[in-house]
Amino acid sequence: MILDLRAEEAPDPVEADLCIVGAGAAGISIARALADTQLQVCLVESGGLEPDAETQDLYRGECVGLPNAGMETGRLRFFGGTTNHWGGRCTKLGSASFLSRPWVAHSGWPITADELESHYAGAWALCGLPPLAPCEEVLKRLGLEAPAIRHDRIDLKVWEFTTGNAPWSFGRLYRDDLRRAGNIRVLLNANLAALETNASGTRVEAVTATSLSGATRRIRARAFALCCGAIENARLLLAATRSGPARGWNRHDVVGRFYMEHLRGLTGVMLAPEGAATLQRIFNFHDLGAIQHQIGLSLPAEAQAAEGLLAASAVLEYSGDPRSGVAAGQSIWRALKRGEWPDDFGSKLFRVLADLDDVAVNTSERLFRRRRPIYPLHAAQVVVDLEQAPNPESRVTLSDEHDPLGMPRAQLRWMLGDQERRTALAFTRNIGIEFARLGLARCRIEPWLTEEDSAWGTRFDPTFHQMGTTRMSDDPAQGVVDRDCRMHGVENLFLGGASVFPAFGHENPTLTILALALRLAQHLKTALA
Amino acid sequence: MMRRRLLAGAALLAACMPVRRGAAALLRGAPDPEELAGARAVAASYCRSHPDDLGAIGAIERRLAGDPRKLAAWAAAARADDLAKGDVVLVEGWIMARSEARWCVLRAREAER
Repeated sequence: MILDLRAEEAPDPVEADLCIVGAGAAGISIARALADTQLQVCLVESGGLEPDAETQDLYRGECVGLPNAGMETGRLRFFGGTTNHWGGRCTKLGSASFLSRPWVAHSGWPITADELESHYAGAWALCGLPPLAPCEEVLKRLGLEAPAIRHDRIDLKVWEFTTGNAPWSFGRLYRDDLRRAGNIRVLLNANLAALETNASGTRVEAVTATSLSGATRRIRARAFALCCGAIENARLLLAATRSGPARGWNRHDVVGRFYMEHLRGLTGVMLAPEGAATLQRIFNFHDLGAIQHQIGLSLPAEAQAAEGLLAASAVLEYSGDPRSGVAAGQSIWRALKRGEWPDDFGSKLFRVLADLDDVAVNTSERLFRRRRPIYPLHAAQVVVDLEQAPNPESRVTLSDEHDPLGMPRAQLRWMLGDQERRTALAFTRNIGIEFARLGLARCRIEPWLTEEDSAWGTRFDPTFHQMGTTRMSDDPAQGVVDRDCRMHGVENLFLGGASVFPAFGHENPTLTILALALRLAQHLKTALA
Repeated sequence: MMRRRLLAGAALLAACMPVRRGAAALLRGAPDPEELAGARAVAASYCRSHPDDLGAIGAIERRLAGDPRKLAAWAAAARADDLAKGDVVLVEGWIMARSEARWCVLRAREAER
């Protein structure tokens, strides 16, 4: 059942076994895993089924550290959450990233990769994908030979992408499942305005949900799960702990700390006069059946350990020669597909005819083997995704400004250390050495990585992979939630999503968010039975 | 984002064209007279940024000077060895085996004679 708080459709109070706040990847996955069970579930979402500017503005906050456009535009505040613009890139978190790494302060999860492994199967299914095969197998199925790289320097890395032309929006894909489930009530346009606890603050009794139009409901439940993303989870908890019995929840001052993102940046440019075709044939997007894969590179765990580095991966982006017949043919084809007449058609057609061999080979490869075109290359760019080291000074706090519901807005102080820059430099160097050794390409490292540049942090783009802030730890002084994602000191408050990651590798986080959500759903099913 | 990256890449390549030519020639693994300008650019930059290596280059020069075949054989073997060991230098950002940079200096000096 889907109800709209603005239309006063829900009873007051709403009674449930479990109240989930936030209908994004984690919240929807937990609710869906509990569909058609004995548990009564209320899924509370701040937005409606479609985006609206007034609700989205509730995410507006203040950046006082590195600039971070993702604070407002990276997150989406309507049913489906940020999956509504998710790129669909999927991979599991590498097992090494679960371990405590002596050279990465505050690293290590209280759970092992094996404890999450069984939940990844469900996570892949939620993304409509089969589990990712090892890179060697993907290459074999593509009929490609792996380059003879030294695996102590770089490794091949493969990703899968959700299928379809639209984002893999959980709001669109799983809406009907939740609507049909007899035990689930979705409450739209309902913002968490207050948490009520017992006198000792050890238990949440109810939450208050308010719409921007002023409608209010109390939701009483046996357990609560906040699944609102790293910045919002921290904001809600910090707001709740300003006074009253919940004050003790943050006695170790950990809530909001260790904010992390992945850093994406151009770290090198490559010339590949001889190896252009080999590079593009391997390090590219590939279709295997209906599933799109991407092959890139990663920094091996042993190289990280040897040099005190973080996890990193890279892809190559190609800048084709715009004068080539292949590029001209592509431009003509794209214009015709859009129903437009190509600009400068005569000269493009001439370039196609003058380069007919290459055009014919590429067309045949595309049509019969579904391979991307091989361009005469101008250059290839090395685009790196880096892990951010957990840093307690990188944090979310509360701003003095308040939103229209009277809640303090978030203040983000995003900070980086030097380990990220060192990792980007060493990884790009390793790629350059290996590609030179194999005669594939010659690499130039971006000057900002090697020269004194105090603003190097601004050279990275945020990826909207917001993580940390309510990290998982067995020690309440080091983390906000325990290994079951339950808030330390509160018997029935759970947190879902990337906010509980204590550290993270270079991998895209959504699949791990889903695996953790399914694990939490299983725990709640048992605990509330 | 993509456009910004592409423009940045193109601008960088244009800005370091002579070294780029030298780097491309080295990738082909063979001394190419047409790439002498590139070798000279690499040599000049390397000598500026790594003055402490001039003694070692002098020793190689004394050992191999006047015998282009020996020099070419040394360059090929040393390059493979350096890349295997990870003994590389950055010349205006380009990653080169140390021996490649040294070879450029030797090649430039030889051309001056």
